[in-house]
Amino acid sequence: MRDHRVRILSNAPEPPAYWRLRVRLSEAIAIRPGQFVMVRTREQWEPLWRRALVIYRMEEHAEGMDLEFLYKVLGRGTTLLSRQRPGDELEMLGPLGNGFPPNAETEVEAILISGGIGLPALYLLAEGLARDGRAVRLFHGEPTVEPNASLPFFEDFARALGPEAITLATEDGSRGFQGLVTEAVEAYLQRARPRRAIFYACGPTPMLRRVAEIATQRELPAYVSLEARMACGFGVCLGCAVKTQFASDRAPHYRRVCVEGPIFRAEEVIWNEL
Amino acid sequence: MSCDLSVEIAGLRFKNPILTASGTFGYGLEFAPWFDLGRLGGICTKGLSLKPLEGNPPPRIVETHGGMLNSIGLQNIGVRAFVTEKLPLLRQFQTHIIANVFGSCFEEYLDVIRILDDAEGIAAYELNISCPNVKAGGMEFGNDPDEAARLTEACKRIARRPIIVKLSPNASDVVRVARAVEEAGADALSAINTILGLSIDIYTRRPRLATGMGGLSGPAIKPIALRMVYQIACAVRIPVIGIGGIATVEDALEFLIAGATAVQIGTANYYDPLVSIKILEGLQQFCQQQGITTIRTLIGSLQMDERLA
Repeated sequence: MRDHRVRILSNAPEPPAYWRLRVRLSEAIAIRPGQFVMVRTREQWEPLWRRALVIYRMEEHAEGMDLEFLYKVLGRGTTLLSRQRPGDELEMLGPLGNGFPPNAETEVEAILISGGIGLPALYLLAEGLARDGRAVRLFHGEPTVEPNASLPFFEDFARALGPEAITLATEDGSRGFQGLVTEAVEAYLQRARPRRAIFYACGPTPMLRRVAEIATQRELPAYVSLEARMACGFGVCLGCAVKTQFASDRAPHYRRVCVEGPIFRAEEVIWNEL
Repeated sequence: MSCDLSVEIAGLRFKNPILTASGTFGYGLEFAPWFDLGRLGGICTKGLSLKPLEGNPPPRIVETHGGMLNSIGLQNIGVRAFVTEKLPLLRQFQTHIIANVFGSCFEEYLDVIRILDDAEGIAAYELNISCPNVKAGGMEFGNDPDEAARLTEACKRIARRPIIVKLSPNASDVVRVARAVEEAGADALSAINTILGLSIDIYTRRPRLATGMGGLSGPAIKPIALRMVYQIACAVRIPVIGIGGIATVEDALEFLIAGATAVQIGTANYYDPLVSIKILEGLQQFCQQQGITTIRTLIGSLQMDERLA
């Protein structure tokens, strides 16, 4: 973990509602799928906090390493970020967080579930699992998507997994499966009945909670990537605490999303205290 | 020529006046990967209580303009775990470790100090009588000059190390509290803790923090902190450590000129883990440029028209 000074290569809107940021580091760093960075524009005083961005994609090359991020413009921090131009520099602290655990079991189908801006947390995981020859499916939910809009981030996943491994769910039925992404997952499980499966999920809390319920009902392991307000991202502000119950320690304790997370086993999270 | 940055507080020599503030610097060790902790003048630990504390439910923090509100609720591992797990590693660094202490009642402050007194590698105690976020956070002592004095006196009687009392800006008259704890034997003061604040979600019409209100920190509070530090420094003879929204070397210099013998860097550590070292380097550079040979000539050098003070 270091405070890297990175140069922006590109930063532009991407349908349906995202921005794609690409930056260059002067050196390659080791990154685990699901890890994040804390960014701010140089010499920034307002807003005060850096913003947490999960690492979407990465590419090593002779000049160092390029990292890609997908983000949504939601408030002051992401608005400021969206105004940065190619050539501008960012201060980038990271990589941070635990990342998804490596899974040694080859016979298990990996079911990736995302909602909205949860999707970027899953790309490196999907790519890594596919590279290792594992069976991987992605279910992604959006509220709505214009029927003919191109979805570049979907093409990224399609290249890694094959288009047939991806299911898009929209709440209004404008594209793909009509309904919640968790309903699409349940429909798939009913139909395909995979012998063994594991869930990896990132998205809004109600979606994650539902994923945890389905995992419990079907006795499947599930990992969820949680989000929380963070002032620091490296474990000192204690602002991002979530109540968890680890198998190693039956008493519930607050754990930091930034250090002990953002990836937790679904059964460790005390959902009604989120 | 390099400037002598050393200062003396409570009989302790600090190599420089840049300290880190309790609650923003973990147990110190969290910052060891970022820089040599031995470069700092001192480190104030996370507030330590007799028993471990889980802290408040989330959401615990919210960003505001130029600052943030927090209601962490003094989450900490407890004084015994601090002594066995953190202190042996922390005391290897060539810096003063100041243990921040709080209790849910009078006796608990004394119990925490007794346990710390048996440990090596601590330079001083900072009494937290000013946390606004928990009932047991000492505010009852911080608001009342008599109670603050009574607690200070009791701690002084048993402690084998100097006592720094951290004052609350939420007291109705912080100068009166400062004078009272000086009278009771405090070796130094630190000011200010966070200012009680509120932030509201206009759509749900609920507070943005689970506990309702929280403590405001960050650059937004600096002018208030600076004014209070100036007033306190004018009113007491013991050293004052300035805290409140310090983010740059200029901020630190303002506090020194206002009368602070040293400063603590707090909220800025969150967005820049190297900020304390940047401020330290900036201080050395400023003194060189200005031909200041000892930082002590700067302390309390504010030119204030007496009619304005």
